[in-house]
Amino acid sequence: MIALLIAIPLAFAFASIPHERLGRYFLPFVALFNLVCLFFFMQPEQILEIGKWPAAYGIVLVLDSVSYPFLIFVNLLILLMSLSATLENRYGTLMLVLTAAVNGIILTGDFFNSFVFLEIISVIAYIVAAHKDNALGAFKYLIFGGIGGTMYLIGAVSVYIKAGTLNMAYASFITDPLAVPIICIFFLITFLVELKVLPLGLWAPDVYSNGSSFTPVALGSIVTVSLVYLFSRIFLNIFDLPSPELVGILAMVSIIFAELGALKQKNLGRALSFATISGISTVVAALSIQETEVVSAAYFYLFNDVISKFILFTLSAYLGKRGFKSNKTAGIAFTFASLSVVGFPMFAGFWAKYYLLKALFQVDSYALPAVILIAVVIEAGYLIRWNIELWYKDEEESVLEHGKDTENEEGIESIEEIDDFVPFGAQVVTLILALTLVVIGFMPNLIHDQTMNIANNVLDFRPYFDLILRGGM
Amino acid sequence: MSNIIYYVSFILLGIGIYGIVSQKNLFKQLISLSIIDTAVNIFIVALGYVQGGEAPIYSAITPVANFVDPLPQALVLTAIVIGVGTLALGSILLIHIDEKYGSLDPDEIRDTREVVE
Repeated sequence: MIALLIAIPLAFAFASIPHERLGRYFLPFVALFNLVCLFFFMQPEQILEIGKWPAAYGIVLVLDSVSYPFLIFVNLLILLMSLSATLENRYGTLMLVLTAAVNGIILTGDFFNSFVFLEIISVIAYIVAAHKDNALGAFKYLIFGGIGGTMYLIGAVSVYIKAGTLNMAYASFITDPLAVPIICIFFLITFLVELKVLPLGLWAPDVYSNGSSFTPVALGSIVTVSLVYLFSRIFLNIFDLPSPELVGILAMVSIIFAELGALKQKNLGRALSFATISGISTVVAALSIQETEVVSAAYFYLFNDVISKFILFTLSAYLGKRGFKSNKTAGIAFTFASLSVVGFPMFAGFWAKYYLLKALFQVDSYALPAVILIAVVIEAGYLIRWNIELWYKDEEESVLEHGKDTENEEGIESIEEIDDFVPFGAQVVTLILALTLVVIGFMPNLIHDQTMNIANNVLDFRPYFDLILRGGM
Repeated sequence: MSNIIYYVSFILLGIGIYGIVSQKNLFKQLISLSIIDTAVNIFIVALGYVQGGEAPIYSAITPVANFVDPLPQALVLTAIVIGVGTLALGSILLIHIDEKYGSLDPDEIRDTREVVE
Protein backbone atom coordinates (compact mmCIF):
# COMPACT_ATOMS: atom_id res chain seq x y z
CA MET A 1 0.00 0.00 0.00
CA ILE A 2 2.75 2.51 0.90
CA ALA A 3 4.31 1.98 -2.55
CA LEU A 4 1.26 3.77 -3.98
CA LEU A 5 2.70 7.06 -2.71
CA ILE A 6 5.47 6.61 -5.27
CA ALA A 7 3.67 4.58 -7.93
CA ILE A 8 0.59 6.77 -8.39
CA PRO A 9 2.46 10.07 -9.04
CA LEU A 10 4.81 8.19 -11.37
CA ALA A 11 1.92 6.53 -13.24
CA PHE A 12 0.20 9.89 -13.72
CA ALA A 13 3.48 11.44 -14.82
CA PHE A 14 3.76 8.84 -17.60
CA ALA A 15 0.07 9.25 -18.44
CA SER A 16 0.57 12.99 -18.87
CA ILE A 17 3.41 12.67 -21.37
CA PRO A 18 1.19 12.26 -24.48
CA HIS A 19 -1.13 15.03 -23.21
CA GLU A 20 1.31 17.51 -21.78
CA ARG A 21 -1.16 19.97 -20.36
CA LEU A 22 -2.93 17.31 -18.29
CA GLY A 23 0.08 17.06 -15.95
CA ARG A 24 -0.65 20.23 -14.04
CA TYR A 25 -4.30 19.22 -13.63
CA PHE A 26 -3.29 15.78 -12.37
CA LEU A 27 -0.92 17.23 -9.79
CA PRO A 28 -3.42 18.52 -7.16
CA PHE A 29 -5.48 15.34 -7.40
CA VAL A 30 -2.42 13.14 -6.99
CA ALA A 31 -1.25 15.16 -3.96
CA LEU A 32 -4.77 14.98 -2.53
CA PHE A 33 -4.87 11.23 -3.17
CA ASN A 34 -1.59 10.82 -1.28
CA LEU A 35 -2.92 12.85 1.64
CA VAL A 36 -6.17 10.86 1.78
CA CYS A 37 -4.16 7.61 1.72
CA LEU A 38 -1.89 8.86 4.48
CA PHE A 39 -4.70 10.08 6.71
CA PHE A 40 -7.21 7.27 6.26
CA PHE A 41 -5.53 4.16 4.90
CA MET A 42 -1.94 4.21 6.10
CA GLN A 43 -0.67 4.30 9.63
CA PRO A 44 2.94 4.43 10.84
CA GLU A 45 5.01 1.39 11.72
CA GLN A 46 4.80 -0.63 8.54
CA ILE A 47 7.37 -1.68 5.98
CA LEU A 48 7.19 -3.01 2.45
CA GLU A 49 9.84 -5.42 1.23
CA ILE A 50 10.05 -4.95 -2.52
CA GLY A 51 9.89 -8.32 -4.29
CA LYS A 52 9.61 -10.03 -0.88
CA TRP A 53 13.37 -9.77 -0.45
CA PRO A 54 14.36 -9.55 3.22
CA ALA A 55 15.54 -6.12 4.32
CA ALA A 56 19.25 -6.93 4.36
CA TYR A 57 19.19 -8.07 0.71
CA GLY A 58 16.48 -6.00 -0.94
CA ILE A 59 14.92 -2.57 -0.96
CA VAL A 60 12.48 -1.74 1.82
CA LEU A 61 10.06 1.15 2.12
CA VAL A 62 9.55 2.23 5.72
CA LEU A 63 6.62 4.20 7.09
CA ASP A 64 7.40 4.98 10.71
CA SER A 65 6.61 7.75 13.18
CA VAL A 66 9.33 9.93 11.68
CA SER A 67 8.63 9.51 7.97
CA TYR A 68 4.83 9.72 8.38
CA PRO A 69 4.56 13.41 9.46
CA PHE A 70 7.21 14.40 6.93
CA LEU A 71 5.21 12.72 4.16
CA ILE A 72 2.04 14.54 5.20
CA PHE A 73 3.84 17.88 5.30
CA VAL A 74 5.54 17.39 1.93
CA ASN A 75 2.36 16.27 0.16
CA LEU A 76 0.45 19.16 1.70
CA LEU A 77 3.06 21.56 0.32
CA ILE A 78 2.79 19.94 -3.11
CA LEU A 79 -1.00 20.31 -3.03
CA LEU A 80 -0.75 23.98 -2.03
CA MET A 81 1.93 24.67 -4.64
CA SER A 82 -0.20 23.08 -7.37
CA LEU A 83 -3.02 25.49 -6.43
CA SER A 84 -0.93 28.62 -6.03
CA ALA A 85 1.76 28.46 -8.71
CA THR A 86 1.33 29.29 -12.37
CA LEU A 87 2.60 26.01 -13.78
CA GLU A 88 3.30 25.87 -17.48
CA ASN A 89 2.08 22.69 -19.15
CA ARG A 90 5.46 21.04 -19.46
CA TYR A 91 6.19 21.46 -15.76
CA GLY A 92 3.16 19.42 -14.67
CA THR A 93 4.79 16.12 -15.58
CA LEU A 94 8.01 17.17 -13.86
CA MET A 95 6.18 18.05 -10.66
CA LEU A 96 4.48 14.64 -10.68
CA VAL A 97 7.88 12.93 -10.95
CA LEU A 98 9.16 15.22 -8.18
CA THR A 99 6.22 14.12 -6.01
CA ALA A 100 7.16 10.46 -6.56
CA ALA A 101 10.82 11.18 -5.83
CA VAL A 102 10.32 13.14 -2.60
CA ASN A 103 7.90 10.50 -1.33
CA GLY A 104 10.45 7.87 -2.33
CA ILE A 105 13.36 9.53 -0.59
CA ILE A 106 11.33 9.80 2.61
CA LEU A 107 10.06 6.22 2.46
CA THR A 108 13.13 4.34 1.37
CA GLY A 109 15.24 2.40 3.82
CA ASP A 110 18.03 1.71 1.34
CA PHE A 111 21.08 3.87 0.69
CA PHE A 112 21.41 3.27 -3.03
CA ASN A 113 17.68 3.69 -3.55
CA SER A 114 17.89 7.03 -1.74
CA PHE A 115 20.76 8.00 -4.07
CA VAL A 116 18.55 7.25 -7.10
CA PHE A 117 15.69 9.33 -5.69
CA LEU A 118 18.14 12.09 -4.79
CA GLU A 119 19.41 12.17 -8.37
CA ILE A 120 15.86 12.21 -9.76
CA ILE A 121 15.10 15.16 -7.49
CA SER A 122 18.34 16.85 -8.58
CA VAL A 123 17.70 16.47 -12.31
CA ILE A 124 14.17 17.86 -11.90
CA ALA A 125 15.57 20.63 -9.73
CA TYR A 126 18.05 21.63 -12.47
CA ILE A 127 15.22 21.82 -15.01
CA VAL A 128 12.97 23.74 -12.64
CA ALA A 129 15.87 26.07 -11.81
CA ALA A 130 16.25 26.87 -15.52
CA HIS A 131 12.68 28.24 -15.62
CA LYS A 132 12.35 31.86 -16.79
CA ASP A 133 15.47 31.62 -18.95
CA ASN A 134 17.74 31.06 -15.94
CA ALA A 135 20.11 28.54 -17.56
CA LEU A 136 23.18 30.10 -15.92
CA GLY A 137 21.79 29.72 -12.39
CA ALA A 138 20.67 26.18 -13.18
CA PHE A 139 24.12 25.27 -14.52
CA LYS A 140 25.77 26.56 -11.37
CA TYR A 141 23.40 24.35 -9.37
CA LEU A 142 24.17 21.40 -11.65
CA ILE A 143 27.89 21.64 -10.95
CA PHE A 144 27.41 21.91 -7.18
CA GLY A 145 24.67 19.26 -7.17
CA GLY A 146 26.70 16.95 -9.42
CA ILE A 147 29.60 16.95 -6.97
CA GLY A 148 27.17 16.46 -4.07
CA GLY A 149 25.49 13.52 -5.80
CA THR A 150 28.84 11.89 -6.51
CA MET A 151 29.83 12.18 -2.86
CA TYR A 152 26.56 10.55 -1.83
CA LEU A 153 27.24 7.67 -4.24
CA ILE A 154 30.72 7.12 -2.79
CA GLY A 155 29.18 7.15 0.69
CA ALA A 156 26.47 4.64 -0.28
CA VAL A 157 28.95 2.26 -1.90
CA SER A 158 31.30 2.56 1.08
CA VAL A 159 28.38 1.50 3.30
CA TYR A 160 27.93 -1.58 1.12
CA ILE A 161 31.61 -2.46 1.28
CA LYS A 162 31.75 -2.11 5.04
CA ALA A 163 28.33 -3.48 6.03
CA GLY A 164 27.71 -5.95 3.17
CA THR A 165 24.26 -4.42 2.72
CA LEU A 166 22.74 -1.16 1.56
CA ASN A 167 19.96 -1.28 4.12
CA MET A 168 20.04 1.78 6.39
CA ALA A 169 19.18 -0.06 9.59
CA TYR A 170 21.79 -2.80 9.12
CA ALA A 171 24.37 -0.22 8.05
CA SER A 172 24.37 1.17 11.58
CA PHE A 173 26.21 -1.96 12.71
CA ILE A 174 29.42 -1.04 10.89
CA THR A 175 32.06 -1.59 13.52
CA ASP A 176 35.10 -0.05 11.82
CA PRO A 177 35.67 3.12 13.88
CA LEU A 178 37.51 4.82 11.03
CA ALA A 179 35.04 3.94 8.29
CA VAL A 180 31.93 5.51 9.81
CA PRO A 181 33.23 9.10 10.04
CA ILE A 182 34.64 8.92 6.51
CA ILE A 183 31.33 7.60 5.13
CA CYS A 184 29.47 10.31 7.03
CA ILE A 185 31.73 13.04 5.63
CA PHE A 186 30.78 11.97 2.09
CA PHE A 187 27.09 12.14 2.97
CA LEU A 188 27.58 15.41 4.81
CA ILE A 189 29.09 17.14 1.76
CA THR A 190 25.94 16.22 -0.20
CA PHE A 191 23.69 17.65 2.48
CA LEU A 192 25.69 20.86 2.83
CA VAL A 193 25.22 21.40 -0.92
CA GLU A 194 21.55 20.46 -1.07
CA LEU A 195 20.60 22.20 2.19
CA LYS A 196 22.36 25.34 0.95
CA VAL A 197 24.77 25.79 3.84
CA LEU A 198 27.34 28.37 2.70
CA PRO A 199 29.76 28.22 0.97
CA LEU A 200 28.43 25.05 -0.72
CA GLY A 201 24.97 26.60 -1.01
CA LEU A 202 26.16 29.53 -3.12
CA TRP A 203 24.11 28.25 -6.05
CA ALA A 204 20.83 29.05 -4.27
CA PRO A 205 20.49 32.85 -4.71
CA ASP A 206 20.79 32.62 -8.50
CA VAL A 207 18.28 29.78 -8.66
CA TYR A 208 15.64 31.03 -6.23
CA SER A 209 15.53 34.54 -7.60
CA ASN A 210 14.60 33.55 -11.17
CA GLY A 211 11.15 35.13 -10.77
CA SER A 212 9.25 31.87 -11.10
CA SER A 213 6.25 31.26 -8.85
CA PHE A 214 7.16 27.62 -8.27
CA THR A 215 10.97 27.22 -8.47
CA PRO A 216 11.72 28.54 -4.95
CA VAL A 217 8.65 26.80 -3.50
CA ALA A 218 9.47 23.45 -5.12
CA LEU A 219 13.16 23.58 -4.24
CA GLY A 220 13.16 25.70 -1.09
CA SER A 221 10.16 24.09 0.58
CA ILE A 222 9.33 20.66 -0.81
CA VAL A 223 12.84 19.39 -1.62
CA THR A 224 14.34 21.01 1.48
CA VAL A 225 11.86 19.31 3.83
CA SER A 226 12.53 15.90 2.27
CA LEU A 227 16.29 16.41 2.56
CA VAL A 228 16.05 17.56 6.18
CA TYR A 229 14.26 14.25 6.78
CA LEU A 230 17.07 12.29 5.09
CA PHE A 231 19.68 14.31 7.01
CA SER A 232 17.89 13.46 10.26
CA ARG A 233 17.54 9.80 9.34
CA ILE A 234 21.22 9.39 8.49
CA PHE A 235 22.86 11.59 11.12
CA LEU A 236 20.46 11.40 14.05
CA ASN A 237 19.05 7.91 13.63
CA ILE A 238 21.55 5.65 11.87
CA PHE A 239 25.01 7.16 12.24
CA ASP A 240 26.40 9.95 14.40
CA LEU A 241 27.12 13.28 12.80
CA PRO A 242 30.90 13.56 12.23
CA SER A 243 32.35 16.43 14.30
CA PRO A 244 29.01 18.09 15.14
CA GLU A 245 30.82 21.15 16.57
CA LEU A 246 32.41 21.84 13.19
CA VAL A 247 29.08 21.42 11.38
CA GLY A 248 27.50 23.77 13.92
CA ILE A 249 30.20 26.42 13.41
CA LEU A 250 29.90 26.12 9.62
CA ALA A 251 26.13 26.53 9.84
CA MET A 252 26.45 29.55 12.17
CA VAL A 253 28.90 31.25 9.80
CA SER A 254 26.43 30.48 7.02
CA ILE A 255 23.60 32.14 9.00
CA ILE A 256 25.56 35.37 9.49
CA PHE A 257 26.82 35.61 5.90
CA ALA A 258 23.38 34.78 4.50
CA GLU A 259 21.71 37.46 6.63
CA LEU A 260 24.30 40.06 5.61
CA GLY A 261 23.84 38.98 2.00
CA ALA A 262 20.06 39.39 2.32
CA LEU A 263 20.48 42.82 3.91
CA LYS A 264 22.39 44.31 0.98
CA GLN A 265 20.18 42.90 -1.80
CA LYS A 266 18.17 45.30 -3.93
CA ASN A 267 16.11 42.50 -5.46
CA LEU A 268 13.40 40.96 -3.26
CA GLY A 269 13.83 37.47 -4.73
CA ARG A 270 17.55 37.44 -3.96
CA ALA A 271 16.97 38.82 -0.45
CA LEU A 272 14.51 36.02 0.24
CA SER A 273 16.96 33.47 -1.21
CA PHE A 274 19.61 34.52 1.29
CA ALA A 275 16.98 34.50 4.05
CA THR A 276 16.16 30.90 3.11
CA ILE A 277 19.83 29.95 3.35
CA SER A 278 19.91 31.50 6.81
CA GLY A 279 16.74 29.67 7.88
CA ILE A 280 17.90 26.24 6.79
CA SER A 281 21.39 26.82 8.19
CA THR A 282 19.74 27.50 11.56
CA VAL A 283 17.94 24.16 11.29
CA VAL A 284 21.20 22.35 10.42
CA ALA A 285 23.02 24.06 13.29
CA ALA A 286 20.28 23.02 15.72
CA LEU A 287 20.10 19.44 14.43
CA SER A 288 23.86 19.11 14.86
CA ILE A 289 23.36 19.42 18.65
CA GLN A 290 21.42 16.11 18.68
CA GLU A 291 19.40 16.74 21.84
CA THR A 292 15.69 15.91 21.87
CA GLU A 293 14.40 19.37 22.82
CA VAL A 294 16.71 21.12 20.38
CA VAL A 295 15.87 18.75 17.53
CA SER A 296 12.16 19.22 18.22
CA ALA A 297 12.62 23.00 18.16
CA ALA A 298 14.60 22.69 14.92
CA TYR A 299 11.63 20.92 13.27
CA PHE A 300 9.27 23.62 14.56
CA TYR A 301 11.66 26.22 13.13
CA LEU A 302 11.71 24.35 9.82
CA PHE A 303 7.91 24.25 9.73
CA ASN A 304 7.63 28.00 10.30
CA ASP A 305 10.43 28.84 7.88
CA VAL A 306 9.06 26.69 5.08
CA ILE A 307 5.48 28.02 5.40
CA SER A 308 6.63 31.64 5.68
CA LYS A 309 9.02 31.39 2.73
CA PHE A 310 6.29 29.64 0.69
CA ILE A 311 4.12 32.75 1.14
CA LEU A 312 6.94 35.25 0.59
CA PHE A 313 8.35 33.59 -2.52
CA THR A 314 4.94 32.99 -4.11
CA LEU A 315 3.86 36.60 -3.66
CA SER A 316 7.23 38.08 -4.61
CA ALA A 317 7.07 36.15 -7.91
CA TYR A 318 3.77 37.80 -8.81
CA LEU A 319 4.70 41.25 -7.55
CA GLY A 320 7.02 42.31 -10.35
CA LYS A 321 7.44 46.04 -9.78
CA ARG A 322 4.12 46.50 -8.05
CA GLY A 323 3.19 47.05 -4.42
CA PHE A 324 0.33 46.06 -2.15
CA LYS A 325 -1.85 49.17 -2.43
CA SER A 326 -4.12 47.54 -4.97
CA ASN A 327 -3.95 44.05 -3.49
CA LYS A 328 -4.26 44.22 0.24
CA THR A 329 -4.97 40.51 0.68
CA ALA A 330 -1.58 39.65 -0.74
CA GLY A 331 -0.04 42.42 1.33
CA ILE A 332 -1.52 41.09 4.56
CA ALA A 333 -0.31 37.56 3.84
CA PHE A 334 3.16 38.90 2.97
CA THR A 335 3.37 40.98 6.15
CA PHE A 336 2.15 38.12 8.35
CA ALA A 337 4.77 35.81 6.83
CA SER A 338 7.50 38.43 7.30
CA LEU A 339 6.55 38.94 10.95
CA SER A 340 6.54 35.20 11.50
CA VAL A 341 10.02 34.85 9.99
CA VAL A 342 11.29 37.59 12.31
CA GLY A 343 9.63 35.89 15.29
CA PHE A 344 7.05 38.52 16.20
CA PRO A 345 4.74 37.45 19.09
CA MET A 346 1.38 35.95 18.07
CA PHE A 347 2.94 34.19 15.09
CA ALA A 348 4.33 30.67 14.73
CA GLY A 349 7.80 32.13 14.22
CA PHE A 350 7.83 33.51 17.76
CA TRP A 351 7.34 30.03 19.22
CA ALA A 352 9.86 28.55 16.79
CA LYS A 353 12.52 30.93 18.08
CA TYR A 354 11.35 30.70 21.68
CA TYR A 355 11.47 26.89 21.78
CA LEU A 356 14.83 26.85 20.03
CA LEU A 357 16.45 29.41 22.33
CA LYS A 358 14.96 27.76 25.43
CA ALA A 359 16.19 24.32 24.36
CA LEU A 360 19.65 25.65 23.51
CA PHE A 361 20.00 27.33 26.90
CA GLN A 362 18.91 24.08 28.57
CA VAL A 363 21.85 22.24 26.97
CA ASP A 364 24.25 25.11 27.80
CA SER A 365 24.72 26.13 24.21
CA TYR A 366 25.22 29.89 23.95
CA ALA A 367 26.92 30.49 20.61
CA LEU A 368 23.94 29.51 18.45
CA PRO A 369 21.44 31.62 20.47
CA ALA A 370 23.76 34.63 20.04
CA VAL A 371 23.93 34.04 16.29
CA ILE A 372 20.15 33.58 16.09
CA LEU A 373 19.57 36.85 17.95
CA ILE A 374 21.96 38.73 15.66
CA ALA A 375 20.20 37.16 12.67
CA VAL A 376 16.80 38.27 14.02
CA VAL A 377 17.96 41.88 14.21
CA ILE A 378 19.29 41.84 10.63
CA GLU A 379 16.22 39.94 9.40
CA ALA A 380 13.88 42.44 11.03
CA GLY A 381 15.82 45.25 9.36
CA TYR A 382 15.48 44.12 5.78
CA LEU A 383 12.04 42.47 6.02
CA ILE A 384 10.46 45.58 7.59
CA ARG A 385 12.21 47.70 4.94
CA TRP A 386 10.76 45.53 2.16
CA ASN A 387 7.29 45.64 3.72
CA ILE A 388 7.32 49.44 4.01
CA GLU A 389 8.59 49.75 0.45
CA LEU A 390 5.89 47.46 -0.94
CA TRP A 391 3.02 48.96 1.07
CA TYR A 392 3.90 52.55 0.17
CA LYS A 393 4.99 51.99 -3.40
CA ASP A 394 3.63 54.42 -5.98
CA GLU A 395 2.15 51.80 -8.30
CA GLU A 396 1.16 53.98 -11.24
CA GLU A 397 4.71 55.20 -11.61
CA SER A 398 6.28 51.80 -11.17
CA VAL A 399 3.92 50.09 -13.62
CA LEU A 400 4.54 52.83 -16.17
CA GLU A 401 8.25 52.30 -15.66
CA HIS A 402 7.70 48.57 -15.98
CA GLY A 403 5.80 49.19 -19.23
CA LYS A 404 8.69 51.24 -20.58
CA ASP A 405 11.28 48.74 -19.40
CA THR A 406 9.63 45.88 -21.18
CA GLU A 407 8.86 48.04 -24.23
CA ASN A 408 5.18 47.59 -23.52
CA GLU A 409 3.46 50.49 -25.20
CA GLU A 410 0.27 49.65 -23.35
CA GLY A 411 1.70 50.36 -19.93
CA ILE A 412 -1.34 52.43 -18.96
CA GLU A 413 -3.65 49.46 -19.57
CA SER A 414 -1.48 47.50 -17.17
CA ILE A 415 -2.50 49.90 -14.39
CA GLU A 416 -6.15 48.98 -14.88
CA GLU A 417 -5.27 45.30 -14.67
CA ILE A 418 -3.26 45.85 -11.53
CA ASP A 419 -5.95 44.46 -9.20
CA ASP A 420 -5.54 40.98 -10.60
CA PHE A 421 -1.80 40.68 -10.39
CA VAL A 422 -1.90 37.84 -7.87
CA PRO A 423 -4.01 34.92 -9.18
CA PHE A 424 -7.00 33.93 -7.07
CA GLY A 425 -5.50 30.52 -6.18
CA ALA A 426 -2.29 32.09 -4.95
CA GLN A 427 -4.21 34.67 -2.89
CA VAL A 428 -6.33 32.03 -1.19
CA VAL A 429 -3.41 29.67 -0.51
CA THR A 430 -1.09 32.36 0.84
CA LEU A 431 -3.85 33.84 3.00
CA ILE A 432 -4.72 30.42 4.44
CA LEU A 433 -1.06 29.77 5.19
CA ALA A 434 -0.66 33.21 6.77
CA LEU A 435 -3.69 32.55 8.99
CA THR A 436 -2.20 29.16 9.86
CA LEU A 437 0.87 30.97 11.16
CA VAL A 438 -1.41 33.11 13.34
CA VAL A 439 -3.41 30.11 14.61
CA ILE A 440 -0.18 28.31 15.52
CA GLY A 441 0.96 31.53 17.16
CA PHE A 442 -1.95 31.11 19.60
CA MET A 443 -1.86 27.30 19.76
CA PRO A 444 1.81 26.28 19.34
CA ASN A 445 1.16 22.85 20.86
CA LEU A 446 -0.56 21.81 17.64
CA ILE A 447 2.90 21.61 16.09
CA HIS A 448 5.11 21.33 19.15
CA ASP A 449 3.56 18.02 20.24
CA GLN A 450 4.20 16.60 16.79
CA THR A 451 7.78 17.82 16.59
CA MET A 452 8.52 16.41 20.06
CA ASN A 453 7.18 13.06 18.93
CA ILE A 454 9.35 13.13 15.79
CA ALA A 455 12.43 14.18 17.78
CA ASN A 456 11.91 11.40 20.34
CA ASN A 457 11.61 8.81 17.58
CA VAL A 458 14.41 10.05 15.36
CA LEU A 459 16.93 9.98 18.19
CA ASP A 460 15.95 6.45 19.17
CA PHE A 461 17.34 3.89 16.74
CA ARG A 462 15.72 0.89 18.37
CA PRO A 463 12.11 1.26 17.08
CA TYR A 464 13.38 1.77 13.53
CA PHE A 465 15.56 -1.31 13.63
CA ASP A 466 12.81 -3.38 15.28
CA LEU A 467 10.46 -2.38 12.49
CA ILE A 468 12.96 -3.46 9.83
CA LEU A 469 13.74 -6.68 11.72
CA ARG A 470 10.06 -7.54 11.96
CA GLY A 471 10.05 -7.59 8.17
CA GLY A 472 12.32 -10.64 8.29
CA MET A 473 15.97 -11.43 7.75
CA MET B 1 49.26 -4.43 -8.87
CA SER B 2 45.57 -4.80 -8.05
CA ASN B 3 45.64 -1.44 -6.28
CA ILE B 4 46.57 0.42 -9.47
CA ILE B 5 42.93 0.73 -10.45
CA TYR B 6 42.20 2.55 -7.18
CA TYR B 7 45.07 4.97 -7.84
CA VAL B 8 43.75 5.57 -11.34
CA SER B 9 40.31 6.43 -9.99
CA PHE B 10 41.74 8.76 -7.33
CA ILE B 11 43.95 10.51 -9.91
CA LEU B 12 40.93 10.96 -12.17
CA LEU B 13 38.91 12.27 -9.22
CA GLY B 14 41.68 14.78 -8.50
CA ILE B 15 41.82 15.86 -12.14
CA GLY B 16 38.05 16.36 -12.15
CA ILE B 17 38.00 18.41 -8.96
CA TYR B 18 40.99 20.44 -10.15
CA GLY B 19 39.18 21.08 -13.44
CA ILE B 20 36.05 22.37 -11.73
CA VAL B 21 38.00 24.61 -9.39
CA SER B 22 40.54 25.94 -11.91
CA GLN B 23 38.67 26.14 -15.21
CA LYS B 24 36.60 29.20 -15.94
CA ASN B 25 35.00 27.93 -19.11
CA LEU B 26 31.64 26.37 -18.26
CA PHE B 27 32.01 23.57 -20.81
CA LYS B 28 35.33 22.55 -19.27
CA GLN B 29 33.64 22.51 -15.88
CA LEU B 30 30.98 20.16 -17.22
CA ILE B 31 33.63 17.86 -18.67
CA SER B 32 35.43 17.92 -15.31
CA LEU B 33 32.20 16.84 -13.63
CA SER B 34 31.96 14.00 -16.13
CA ILE B 35 35.55 12.95 -15.29
CA ILE B 36 34.60 12.84 -11.59
CA ASP B 37 31.63 10.60 -12.46
CA THR B 38 33.90 8.27 -14.44
CA ALA B 39 36.45 8.16 -11.61
CA VAL B 40 33.77 7.18 -9.11
CA ASN B 41 32.38 4.52 -11.46
CA ILE B 42 35.84 2.98 -11.89
CA PHE B 43 36.30 3.05 -8.12
CA ILE B 44 33.01 1.25 -7.52
CA VAL B 45 33.66 -1.45 -10.13
CA ALA B 46 37.14 -1.97 -8.64
CA LEU B 47 35.60 -2.54 -5.21
CA GLY B 48 33.66 -5.54 -6.49
CA TYR B 49 36.59 -7.03 -8.39
CA VAL B 50 37.97 -10.39 -7.27
CA GLN B 51 41.40 -11.50 -8.49
CA GLY B 52 40.89 -14.29 -11.00
CA GLY B 53 37.13 -14.12 -10.48
CA GLU B 54 34.43 -15.28 -12.89
CA ALA B 55 31.57 -13.29 -14.32
CA PRO B 56 28.71 -13.58 -11.82
CA ILE B 57 26.45 -15.77 -13.97
CA TYR B 58 25.15 -18.82 -12.15
CA SER B 59 24.84 -21.89 -14.37
CA ALA B 60 25.27 -25.64 -14.42
CA ILE B 61 28.86 -25.21 -15.63
CA THR B 62 29.73 -22.80 -12.83
CA PRO B 63 27.63 -23.95 -9.86
CA VAL B 64 30.33 -22.86 -7.47
CA ALA B 65 32.84 -20.38 -8.76
CA ASN B 66 34.93 -17.48 -7.60
CA PHE B 67 32.41 -14.86 -8.70
CA VAL B 68 33.14 -11.16 -8.69
CA ASP B 69 30.63 -9.12 -6.67
CA PRO B 70 27.78 -8.25 -9.07
CA LEU B 71 26.19 -5.56 -6.92
CA PRO B 72 28.75 -2.78 -7.54
CA GLN B 73 28.37 -3.46 -11.26
CA ALA B 74 24.61 -3.04 -11.00
CA LEU B 75 25.09 0.18 -9.02
CA VAL B 76 27.52 1.51 -11.59
CA LEU B 77 25.06 0.83 -14.41
CA THR B 78 22.50 3.03 -12.65
CA ALA B 79 25.14 5.67 -11.87
CA ILE B 80 26.23 5.74 -15.53
CA VAL B 81 22.65 6.33 -16.70
CA ILE B 82 22.21 9.14 -14.17
CA GLY B 83 25.61 10.63 -15.13
CA VAL B 84 24.76 10.64 -18.84
CA GLY B 85 21.40 12.26 -18.09
CA THR B 86 23.08 14.99 -16.06
CA LEU B 87 25.71 15.50 -18.77
CA ALA B 88 23.02 15.85 -21.44
CA LEU B 89 21.06 18.28 -19.31
CA GLY B 90 24.19 20.30 -18.59
CA SER B 91 24.95 20.47 -22.31
CA ILE B 92 21.46 21.77 -23.04
CA LEU B 93 21.87 24.44 -20.37
CA LEU B 94 25.21 25.45 -21.90
CA ILE B 95 23.60 25.78 -25.35
CA HIS B 96 20.99 28.09 -23.82
CA ILE B 97 23.70 30.10 -22.03
CA ASP B 98 25.70 30.43 -25.24
CA GLU B 99 22.62 31.52 -27.19
CA LYS B 100 21.76 34.12 -24.56
CA TYR B 101 25.20 35.56 -23.77
CA GLY B 102 27.25 34.53 -26.80
CA SER B 103 29.94 32.98 -24.61
CA LEU B 104 30.66 30.29 -22.04
CA ASP B 105 33.27 32.37 -20.24
CA PRO B 106 31.96 33.73 -16.90
CA ASP B 107 33.79 37.06 -17.32
CA GLU B 108 32.29 37.66 -20.75
CA ILE B 109 28.87 36.55 -19.49
CA ARG B 110 29.15 39.03 -16.61
CA ASP B 111 30.06 41.82 -19.03
CA THR B 112 27.10 40.96 -21.26
CA ARG B 113 24.76 40.91 -18.24
CA GLU B 114 25.98 44.31 -17.08
CA VAL B 115 25.37 45.77 -20.54
CA VAL B 116 21.84 44.26 -20.65
CA GLU B 117 20.98 45.50 -17.14
